[in-house]
Amino acid sequence: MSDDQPTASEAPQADSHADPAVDIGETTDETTVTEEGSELERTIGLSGGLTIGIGTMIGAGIFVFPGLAAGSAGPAAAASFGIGAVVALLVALPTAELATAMPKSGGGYYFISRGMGSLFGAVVGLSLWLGLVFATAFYLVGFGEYALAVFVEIGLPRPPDLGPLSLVAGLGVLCGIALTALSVGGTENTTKLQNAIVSLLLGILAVFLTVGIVDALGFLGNESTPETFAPFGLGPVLSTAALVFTSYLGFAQIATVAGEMKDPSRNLPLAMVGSVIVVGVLYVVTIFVATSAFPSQELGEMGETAIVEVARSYLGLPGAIAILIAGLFATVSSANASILSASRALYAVSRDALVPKEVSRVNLRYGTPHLALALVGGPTVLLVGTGQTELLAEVASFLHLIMYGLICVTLIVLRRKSPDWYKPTFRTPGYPVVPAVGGAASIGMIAFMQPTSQVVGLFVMVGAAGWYFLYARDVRLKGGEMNE
Amino acid sequence: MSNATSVLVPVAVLQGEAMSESLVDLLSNVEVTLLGYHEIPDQTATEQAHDQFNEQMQRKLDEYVDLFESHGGTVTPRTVFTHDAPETFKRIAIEQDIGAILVTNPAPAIDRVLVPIRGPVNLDPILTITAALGGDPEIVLFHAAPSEEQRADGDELLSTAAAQLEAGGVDPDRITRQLIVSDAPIRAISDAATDTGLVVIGEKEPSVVDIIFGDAADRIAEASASPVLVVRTDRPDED
Repeated sequence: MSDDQPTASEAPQADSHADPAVDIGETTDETTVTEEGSELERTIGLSGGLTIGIGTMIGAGIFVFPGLAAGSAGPAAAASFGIGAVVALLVALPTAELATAMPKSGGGYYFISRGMGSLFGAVVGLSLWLGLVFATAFYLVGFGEYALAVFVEIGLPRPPDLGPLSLVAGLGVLCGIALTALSVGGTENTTKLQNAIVSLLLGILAVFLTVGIVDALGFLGNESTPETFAPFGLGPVLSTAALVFTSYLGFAQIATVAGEMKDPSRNLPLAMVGSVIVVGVLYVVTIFVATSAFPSQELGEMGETAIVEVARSYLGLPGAIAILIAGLFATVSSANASILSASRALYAVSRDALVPKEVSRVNLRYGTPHLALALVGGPTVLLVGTGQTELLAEVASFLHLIMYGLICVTLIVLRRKSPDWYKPTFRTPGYPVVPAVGGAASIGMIAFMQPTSQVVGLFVMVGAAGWYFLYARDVRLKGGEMNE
Repeated sequence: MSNATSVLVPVAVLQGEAMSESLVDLLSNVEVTLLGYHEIPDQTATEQAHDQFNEQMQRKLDEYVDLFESHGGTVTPRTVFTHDAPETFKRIAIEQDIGAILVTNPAPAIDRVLVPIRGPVNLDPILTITAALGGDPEIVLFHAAPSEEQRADGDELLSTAAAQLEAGGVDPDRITRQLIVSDAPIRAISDAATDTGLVVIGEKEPSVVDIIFGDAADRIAEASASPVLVVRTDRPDED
């Protein structure tokens, strides 16, 4: 992975590691006061945090996966989503504890590097960046599917594929470029826009799912499709759980903005746990509704936009159009939120001098870290070009699951060593069972992925470790360091 | 610490927002909280902007502090990096129990201060801070009566205010009164403010920020290109 790094500095060992001043000041409910006496305003409230979590997650689980999941696991795909929710919850609780102890930018990277040293930190930090790049690419492929479905819906002739680049990928690439450019331009009110989009999505889903449930339970007199719950057995249920886990990556993104969260000791745990529960319930209900409308094999054949047909069957053309629009918004908002989180992740590693400082430089004109955003947008666009929904999703999950496993380990390590600075205001219930099971389940889930995804994921991690040994071996972290 | 004569002066230092000497002069008798702030987009972490710009920010802010001190003022500097400047102003105004917030605008020379008075309700805090302003400018007490019949009431209001200013130590020669009849008070104030150096008005709602950023003060500041001092009139007694 070190190839992707801008190795502008010829002698990186020289001065870039001088003093990674990372322990940024004192935390209050509304600000962080830095060592130099400046204040950093905390502007994200509980609803903002929930929006980041839900907005990141909802695009995948409802608008991309139902068809694919039902196709491979049958109606038991609902159980796959349920398993994902339980694992996410088991990790969200330890993450929330660590985030209240260290409410800083950088999320999982920050906790792991402070709890377990800079090697683990570097691997997780770089994997988090690339994991989010894969996730963003996955959402954008989903966007491409929806954009194409819109073309088909309005009756345009299907344009020919452009050489090796499929039309779906092409649309995704365009959207990726546009989103990156918008981010670099420092668009104002992205938060407000994101809030509005998430509220709109939840509204559309509420109507759609309510009608679906009422119908599926037979109140409208339509016979729903009786089908074996798990026609293919337990194996596919678990492998589907591993595939769709990408739908739960958003809660950790809340931790990447922990430094900007108001009243962090209350809002961080609530936003993380709350967003997992909200989307988990929505996913399970969506699968239930979808598999009641169509046999799961048919859903599988419909692919990424299966949910549009489900909506059409319940609500006719208006339903299909509403879900198409919702799908476009949801995938874009997921991609956008992930681009921002990835840029935060790069900032966190560059602040600690694990990558050159230049990476996260903010340009004064737009006030945005243009290089970091380009390092997210660039690789994302390349990956979108492959158009491999499932591979992208699994690699994204792989890289996140490694981090989740290490987050759980970090929690146990910190609880046992109990250093002076470790004062979480939220304590994980059911310690040590919850982090132990959460960590084991996270790593265990990787075993159920396709071999290709596992290889790509491992390659990224080895690359990150290689980068650490080549570039950042002598980095000493300040603030809660446990290198001794 | 209830500071009726404390003023919050937000300055976007990194944007090179200027502060004229005459404005500094005017504020030399009041307690100034000089807030150097930098508003950043959501794409950037506040810590990230801090890492990069804090030094520059502190250095520039020090220049402003020196400017105030060379004019005999007392200044408490603060620096903030924020995604939402209005929210920051509001927090600090409440935290420090600030009496008024300045909406900055370049003011080359301040010979006249326009004090529009709506009614008797918010009169005290507005006049207290007006009386505390330095630099001996002419003070124009202004009232827009909604109709001819209400002229007398307005006249009475203005005399009360003038008397109160005098009691507060303002030389009566500096005080003038202006009474007009208009049913569009904001418009009338903006018109009257165009050739003044500073406008002192009271906020209507409890929130300073609502008024600064969407309402009267903003429109007046924009229309007249004058700095506006928004007096917080409904401060809860808390600390």
